[in-house]
Amino acid sequence: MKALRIHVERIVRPIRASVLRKNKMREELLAHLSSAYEEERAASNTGEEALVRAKQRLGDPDALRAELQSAVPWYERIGHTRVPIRLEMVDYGLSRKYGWRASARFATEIIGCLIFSAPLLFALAYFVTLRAGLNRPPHASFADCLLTIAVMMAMLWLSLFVAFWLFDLIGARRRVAPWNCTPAIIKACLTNLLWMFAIGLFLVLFTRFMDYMQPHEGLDSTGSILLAALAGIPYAPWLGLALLLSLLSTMSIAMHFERRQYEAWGCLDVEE
Amino acid sequence: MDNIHGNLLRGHLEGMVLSVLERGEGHGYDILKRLQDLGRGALALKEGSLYPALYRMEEAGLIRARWESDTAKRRGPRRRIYALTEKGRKELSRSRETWRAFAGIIGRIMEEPT
Repeated sequence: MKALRIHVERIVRPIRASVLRKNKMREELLAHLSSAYEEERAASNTGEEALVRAKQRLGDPDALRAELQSAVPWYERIGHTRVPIRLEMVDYGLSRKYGWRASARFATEIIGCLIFSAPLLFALAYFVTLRAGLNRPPHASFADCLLTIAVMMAMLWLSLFVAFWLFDLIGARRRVAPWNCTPAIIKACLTNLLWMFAIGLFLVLFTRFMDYMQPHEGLDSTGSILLAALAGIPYAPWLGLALLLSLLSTMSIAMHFERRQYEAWGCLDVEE
Repeated sequence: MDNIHGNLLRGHLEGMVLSVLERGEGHGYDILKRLQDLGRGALALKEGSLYPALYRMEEAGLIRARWESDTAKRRGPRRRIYALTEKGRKELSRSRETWRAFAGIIGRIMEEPT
């Protein structure tokens, strides 16, 4: 019965705990509430009265929520601390809440945005180079680098596409129960590894590209630059930034997956 | 006798649940009914507060739980069946001893002077 599910969801949703634990609470409280409701109905109460009485028997929702929260281990409470709303908005953007566009289209749109903003990026990089004391003109012209840029963008497109595709795959509902019950935090970590890879790859390629623009002996081929860039990934300082972004967004993405699991539980629109 | 409300039950609920489970495994609603039967209707327990206690005891290894295997015979959501563990059995003996000592002391104090 939907009213019972909504009551349970109001109690359980704000609790800071893993999806696995919260789903256990949901199902168990719903089973209890259903039994109480049936008992009240059998006692010749009307549906509405039986519902009110069953809810009363369960107790004050706020007090019960607090008690349930206190039964959650401390490490799980910390692990599911609510993140600021703005960070969630970023994830809404990443998860394509508005329209649920296909992975390929989304990756293409991001690349499009990058190409559009490329002059700004290059100006910024050039400014940074000058500030660092490397007051030298670029060795290669922009036209010379077109092939490198094209390959770089293609690689970035591919990594973004794979990341988005896997993101959907990881977050999707499955018929296999253990997959649905996999803690959202693990799924979020998996996703973040993908983000780290995509962001790290782009930043390393970009750094290497800027190196390439500097004068040095002999010109490297596009292939050798990309290979060097890939080999440099584990040592790139950019990975630190990617890791920081990853840590910041892990819990946020976990909440996104959790929202999906709420939807899986019954598409309930519950006011918190 | 007046109903025994939540505040009086607090601190004893876990021991009472262990004692009920010693008589046989059961799901949440079943445990509650058995508690109410044994309390002869005097326990005014908010039903929801049973579950945090069950989760704490499960976390502490005093009880173990499994999902009801056969839902086909019954409509509605699955229930979890709780059973006492060996650790829970030891804890129950400790709780009983504590309770006897507590009841003995309070009983002596509260007795009317002869």
